[in-house]
Amino acid sequence: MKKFLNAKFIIGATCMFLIIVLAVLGNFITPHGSQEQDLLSSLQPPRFDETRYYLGTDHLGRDILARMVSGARVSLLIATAIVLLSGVFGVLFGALSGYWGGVRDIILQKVVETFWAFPPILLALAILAFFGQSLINIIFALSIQRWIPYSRIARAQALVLRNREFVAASQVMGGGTSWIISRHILPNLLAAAIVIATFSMATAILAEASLSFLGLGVPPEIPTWGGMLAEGRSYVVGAWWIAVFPGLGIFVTVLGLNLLGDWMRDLLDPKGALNLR
Amino acid sequence: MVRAIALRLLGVIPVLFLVTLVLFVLLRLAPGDAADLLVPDDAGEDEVARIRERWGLDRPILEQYWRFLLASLQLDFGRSYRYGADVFGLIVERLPATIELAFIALALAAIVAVPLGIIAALRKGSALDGAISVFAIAGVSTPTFWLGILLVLFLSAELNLLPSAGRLPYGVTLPHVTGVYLLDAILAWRLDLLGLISSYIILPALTLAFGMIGIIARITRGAIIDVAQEEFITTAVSKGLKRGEIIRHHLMPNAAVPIVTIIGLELGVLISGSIIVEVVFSWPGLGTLLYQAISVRDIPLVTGIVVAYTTMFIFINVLIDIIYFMVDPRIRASQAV
Amino acid sequence: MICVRPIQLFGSALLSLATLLASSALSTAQERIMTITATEPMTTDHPYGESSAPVYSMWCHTYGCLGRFDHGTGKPVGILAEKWEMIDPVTWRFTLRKGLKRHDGGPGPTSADVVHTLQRIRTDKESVHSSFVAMVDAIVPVDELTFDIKTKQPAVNLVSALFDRFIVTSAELFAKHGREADKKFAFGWGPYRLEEYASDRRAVLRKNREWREVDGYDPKEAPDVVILQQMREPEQRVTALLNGEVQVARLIPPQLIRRLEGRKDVKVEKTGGIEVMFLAFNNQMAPLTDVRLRKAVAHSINRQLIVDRLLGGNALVQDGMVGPNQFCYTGKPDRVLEYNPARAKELLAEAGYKDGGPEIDFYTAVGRYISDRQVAEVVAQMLRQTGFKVRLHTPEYANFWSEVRRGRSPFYYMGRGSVFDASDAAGQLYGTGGSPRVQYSNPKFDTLLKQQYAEADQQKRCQLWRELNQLLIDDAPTHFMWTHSVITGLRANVELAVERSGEFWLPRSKLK
Repeated sequence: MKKFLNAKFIIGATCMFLIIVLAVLGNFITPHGSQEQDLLSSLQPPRFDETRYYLGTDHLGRDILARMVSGARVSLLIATAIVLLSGVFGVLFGALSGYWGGVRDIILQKVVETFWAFPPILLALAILAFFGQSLINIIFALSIQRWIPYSRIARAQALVLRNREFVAASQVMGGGTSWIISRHILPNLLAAAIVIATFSMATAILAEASLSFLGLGVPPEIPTWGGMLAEGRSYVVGAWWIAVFPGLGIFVTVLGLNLLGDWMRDLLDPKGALNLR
Repeated sequence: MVRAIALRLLGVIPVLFLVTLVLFVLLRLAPGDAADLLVPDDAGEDEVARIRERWGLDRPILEQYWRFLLASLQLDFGRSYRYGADVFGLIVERLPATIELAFIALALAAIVAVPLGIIAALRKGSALDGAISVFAIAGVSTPTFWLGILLVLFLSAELNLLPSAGRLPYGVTLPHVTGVYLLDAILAWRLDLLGLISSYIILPALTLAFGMIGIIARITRGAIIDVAQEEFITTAVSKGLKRGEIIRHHLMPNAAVPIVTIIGLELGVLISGSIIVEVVFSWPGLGTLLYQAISVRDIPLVTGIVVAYTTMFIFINVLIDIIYFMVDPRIRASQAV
Repeated sequence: MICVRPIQLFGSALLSLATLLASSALSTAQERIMTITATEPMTTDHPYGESSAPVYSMWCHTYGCLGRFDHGTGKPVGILAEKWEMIDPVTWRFTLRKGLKRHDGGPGPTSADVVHTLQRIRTDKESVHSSFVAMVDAIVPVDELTFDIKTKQPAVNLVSALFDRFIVTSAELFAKHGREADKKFAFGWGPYRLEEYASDRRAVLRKNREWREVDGYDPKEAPDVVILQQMREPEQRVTALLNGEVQVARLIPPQLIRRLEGRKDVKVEKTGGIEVMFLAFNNQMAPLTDVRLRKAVAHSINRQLIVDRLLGGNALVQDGMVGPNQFCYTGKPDRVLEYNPARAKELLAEAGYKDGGPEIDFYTAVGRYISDRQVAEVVAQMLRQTGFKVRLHTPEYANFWSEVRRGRSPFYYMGRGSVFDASDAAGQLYGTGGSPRVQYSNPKFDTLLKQQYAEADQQKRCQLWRELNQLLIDDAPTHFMWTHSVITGLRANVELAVERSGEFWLPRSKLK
């Protein structure tokens, strides 16, 4: 029990709790919309008065708190979508590759190697630069290399199971590929996949923020932490609140995810036997 | 063993082929081409057409790809549209800056992380261990570009401690041997310049190192704990050897291999991972060059840089495999399967 | 020698020795060095290989160009040329200065060099300068120092089109060395000699001690060495200025001025600019084919509020293509499109959008112009307030620009730089068949524009421009916004007059 409730879990869970509360309940705290501009009240410092700009306003007079809420939602949404997309695809890809074996496995593994060989962020950078910003594009761009770790563990698992008797037996009994994968391979992967997913969410949020920072993230209608940082950059002297709060948002979220991931890894894989990077 | 390495290296060729193909397909699907951006805003359509023809952009993409493949077989990666210069030359010119940055960042990270990892391992399960791992994770969780901006603002602008851009000021001449300035300064025995060169590199390197500390510390901790569970350590303890002696003579030498290996692997990640930091700090390395090349659709340059990154990445991996292979018999056994 | 390419002295042996001695002697003496930030890409040492005002300016200082425009007085000033006149509607006669010497001791510029220059601009595969000489039919030498420039059509704006941009290079050096001439023999006649060129990092210029201005002025107070140091991030430029790494920080965005204020060691220079910012419509794409909708857009936007609150007052609201900072401005146009949301709503209702709409896609360049994305966000908001349904897009610049160039962008925010004499820019944007960017066509506009090209009398020409300006307001093919002020940060010991174009002439600067 002591192991279950260690510091990593407590801090990590607190961070995530804070961010989720911000994402879900934030709009009840601030009366402003994230896109509402009021040039006449631009660059207001955080204040607790009738204007209710609790975290201040940015250069266009938009409420920072309202934008933080939107940023939290977008970050969590994008990260979840990326993890789901890359997880499902990666597991299927790896499981099939391992299950089929032979020439098909070799070809599929070349594909894995190719995507793995691209420097991280580069493919995402190119895709967003070429095809423009949208939620779909960024989810796709950041998933394009993130499925690989799942496919590795899935393939390893499939290779092990392939030759086991009970799989051979279920094949004989007419069990299809999908049945075998879902029945025998998936359950064995779940723990490791969850750990990978947690870390992957953390890096996805950082990557999304970096891309938004370079102006390649999501469209301007959707406020994101990375975009807020990029805009706040020039105002850091004199209006620190524009850049400091979104930076904190990213930090707290990623910290929370990393701590939870680390805690889970300690729990599930104390010897570090799985290659989870 | 030699055969295994040769096979690994041969396996690189289809990967490079696929990598370039993916890039060409992406570029084909993207709207806009380099010709639009090479001419000034006031240029007419006829001039755009002239430039397009000049660089063969009016040809079908498959033909462009075919030409690229033929030329690259002769190690000719073409000329950059934007710079009008040889792609290979441009890469060779920029690479040292990136390598220098990666090495320094890695060194900084290792200097901090390895002791942290050792302490954490020796005090496994203590509050100190917990604190170190939380600190390490906090490092990984910081958005580097944000950190970089804050560092520049306070160390450079407010306190005026460090220069904010470039690699060396005007007037300081350094013989060009490797392009890695710190190394060049040592080779030329200009040790007086080391401080100056470091003052330029320290901010981007620190920013880059921050994210590495956590990873290296964790690996170090794990490696030491692993070794500590080995029999010969238990034997040493039962023999009543002093704690410091065990650590120095038994623990560290055996834990060193995995630690060094991981640090090496991180180098591969760092070299390409520096793109964002390079852009934020205008570090004149491969990353900024790539970013600019992408933004002007400079196909030969983008392809050349990606091939360079990919090759380095793969070769570092192969190298690490070889080291591992030679050092650790258990892996040798498992790879034979 | 791959990393940095110093311009080595392989030329005449004697002279190079002398120069080397001189420079080594100088480097021990107190050299006055001025470092200036470069904000545009510096990609090639090819003098015609890149096109941007700062690059033109760099080559004008080293190789030398025919002349420059002094925007303060509105007058052209000679650099290599000392005299020019229009001798018939399609011919201009130029005379080059006597007694100039090339940096390597070679002869001064001649008509043959000018002819060579045109030839190279037009035929060199790497040249991207040919658009501004498009109007030139031929350059005909008259004698060694005199030549005629023949134009295809009357072109009273020839001087403003060529000055600051037409970089004269040596025919002799090019004949001997070809492309290598740009690397190892980059000798020209200008007030500075190119000492080092490291692409994307810096260029080092060293003063040509023999240089005298066309009026005889001796630039002895100008810096001995000028370093153009590439710094593309504005925050970095400000930081570098504050800690003394650079003496001149160019293109400071308005929101960063506050970091420079209240400091004794730096000063801020503001100059009215000539980069015209506008909201462009594609006049052939529905629904903005309807002039009422275009005007409704114009009436929806409170330009002065944006200037005051977002741009810190560092811009000048502009009506029409020609504003107060430009050539041929004759006062406020008779009819302008002011901020008037009530009128905007009326126009929308008239056009059939009483209950809101139409839906429009609005594009903006990002990071190309001052606060471009932020401006676009405000514009989108203001349009929504009068009833438009706006989708704002912020594509990467390459995509944005290729869509605009091909006439596929329905509605976008962008600018046009260095519009002092507006003739060519107006012809390209609004002339029939000029380009697909705006797709505006009005025979009356075309006739007037053609007329002013041939009108040698400046007063009459400016009157024609008044009419042209009014047409562009009445038909609203674009809605003009403002010109940004050019903001430059200087160390206190620097005196430098920044032109409206954002460039400056170094021999007239002072470094104490």
